[in-house]
Amino acid sequence: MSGDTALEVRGLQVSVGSGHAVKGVSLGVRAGECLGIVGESGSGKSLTLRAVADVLPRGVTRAAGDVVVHGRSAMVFQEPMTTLNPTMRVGDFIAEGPRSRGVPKREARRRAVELLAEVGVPDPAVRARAWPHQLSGGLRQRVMIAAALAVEPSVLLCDEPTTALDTTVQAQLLALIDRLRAERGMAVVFVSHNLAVVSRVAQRVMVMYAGRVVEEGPTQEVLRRPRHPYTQALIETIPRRGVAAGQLTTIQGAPPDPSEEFTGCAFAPRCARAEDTCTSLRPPMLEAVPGHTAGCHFVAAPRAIAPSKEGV
Amino acid sequence: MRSYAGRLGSLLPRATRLKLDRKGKFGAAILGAYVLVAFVGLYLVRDPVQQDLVHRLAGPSWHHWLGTDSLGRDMFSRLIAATRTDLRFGFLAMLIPLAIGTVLGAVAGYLGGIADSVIMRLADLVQSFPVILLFLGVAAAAGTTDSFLLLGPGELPIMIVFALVGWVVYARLIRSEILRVRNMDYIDAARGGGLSTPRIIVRHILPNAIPQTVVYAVVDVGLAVLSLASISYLGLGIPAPNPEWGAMINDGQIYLAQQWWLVVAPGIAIAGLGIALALIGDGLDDEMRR
Ligand SMILES: Nc1ncnc2c1ncn2[C@@H]1O[C@H](COP(=O)(O)OP(=O)(O)O)[C@@H](O)[C@H]1O
Ligand SMILES: [Mg+2]
Repeated sequence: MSGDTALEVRGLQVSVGSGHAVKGVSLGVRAGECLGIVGESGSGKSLTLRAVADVLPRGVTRAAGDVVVHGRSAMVFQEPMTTLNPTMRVGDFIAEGPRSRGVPKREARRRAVELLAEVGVPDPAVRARAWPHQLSGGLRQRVMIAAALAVEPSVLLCDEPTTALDTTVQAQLLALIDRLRAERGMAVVFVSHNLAVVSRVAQRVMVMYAGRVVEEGPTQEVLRRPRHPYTQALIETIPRRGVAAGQLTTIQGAPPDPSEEFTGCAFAPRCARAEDTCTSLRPPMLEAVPGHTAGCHFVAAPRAIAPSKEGV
Repeated sequence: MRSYAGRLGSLLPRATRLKLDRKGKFGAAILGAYVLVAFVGLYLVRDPVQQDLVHRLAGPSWHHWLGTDSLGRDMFSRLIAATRTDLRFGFLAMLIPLAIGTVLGAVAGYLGGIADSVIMRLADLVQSFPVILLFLGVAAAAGTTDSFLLLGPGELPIMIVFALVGWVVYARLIRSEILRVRNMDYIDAARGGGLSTPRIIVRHILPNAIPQTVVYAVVDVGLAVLSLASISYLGLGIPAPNPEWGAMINDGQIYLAQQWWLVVAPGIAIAGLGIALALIGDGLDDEMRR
């Protein structure tokens, strides 16, 4: 199913003035594949995506690294209130991409209606004439996805596109993104702070902490046999059947400020099994099994804290 | 093909889907009457500059509804004729600074950096300059300038001063709105979609940055008329014999004790217009806050 490489990022560093919020991220995604990126708020997920789409906020710059997009990228943002231009009918907004590339107005409009149909908006011809404020949050996100598809992207970048929506609508949108990926053979990068959400669309996940990748591997493999204590902690925060909400673990402490530089592992201050080496030496990304890597000194001997049907 | 109104509607979204509230509609009705008078009034009344020295300072009568002034000119005709002068001037004195201020404010807000610094320092400079000196400076020229395009005799130098000074408020308004709108995700989506910078500014940023400015612009027409009347009252504005409300008040004030209507009538005309515009501005403002 997975084809040629659609997106390659090597050694990406993003400077926010006071320091680097992204400290050397590398990733690759193939056509027809979805890579999930998870991590707590502030871990640098959004800036990584924005650096790829070349829409970094003012005052934030790409300090180092290469981004190679084979084809075009398009981005879907989190907040449905600010993602659509309130002064444009949604059909016109979707048509902007094609029109700016010289597609005639009528043709672009027709294309917009087709795209609305493709993303499952009922009555697409009518809805194309609606204003954003007339649509529900879920419909707005579908419109945003249609607008992203309008630029014929080979890479779709999704920044928490379902976070502001209720769970039913969220599930529908995840199914939509999954279908579009498969049908169009698109590469998708799906960012969320919620590992459970990511695991529903991503074939591979990357866990970020304090601007760095700390674990990466096939989704099921990472979920069942997490190698980094941070990933293990993230998994324990996922609500599960038979575990009351009150019993869910939360990760102790707070993530560090992005401008903070660590000689050792950034997670060490919050890590239950940290030893002296952890604060003095930064762990390299080590391969646990082929295709599954983690940046922890104890990758070779992971502590089994995540309950798993198959055991470790 | 989208209608002109539709196009305007997309440029001034919430403002032009004119859901004026009651007081706003009341203001619009008054303004409509003024505009009507400005367009057709001149053809219904007699010559506003025709002197009749035999019938100077006549009281109101069937023949002269508001009497005559010190040169025997029909006051009602002058009042009507002045409506055109003041309204036309007021709208242009809003539109020209609005255009200049929008362009400069958009450039400053979107580009930032040096362009922003230069434009905003210029704005500070203009704002700290005593405007009355500028009017004094052009007063002599005003007496000798002819009509120019839409402007009547003597109006061009005054309009230039309005343009030089008036853009500052619009530039500041537009700039601050652009700084707000610029951070919206749909701007990033447009940038990411490969749209050109002018297209992003014109189609995505300005339509969202302008509505607040429209409210100010409506009220600004009234302020411009008031300013024109004030400087004409001081003898620095529209030269005689062209009818203008402020100049008429100036002409009439020495007869205030007997022929008080010579002052009160143009005064009411100015106040009525100002109130109408303020009502519209307020009605739009409330509507947009929703
Ligand atoms: N526009 C900005 N200016 C300065 N710092 C920023 C900006 N955007 C994000 N940051 C900082 O960069 C870090 C990473 O942000 P972000 O990529 O948005 O995290 P995430 O998406 O994982 O929650 C945060 O600590 C945040 O404070
Ligand atoms: Mg984010």
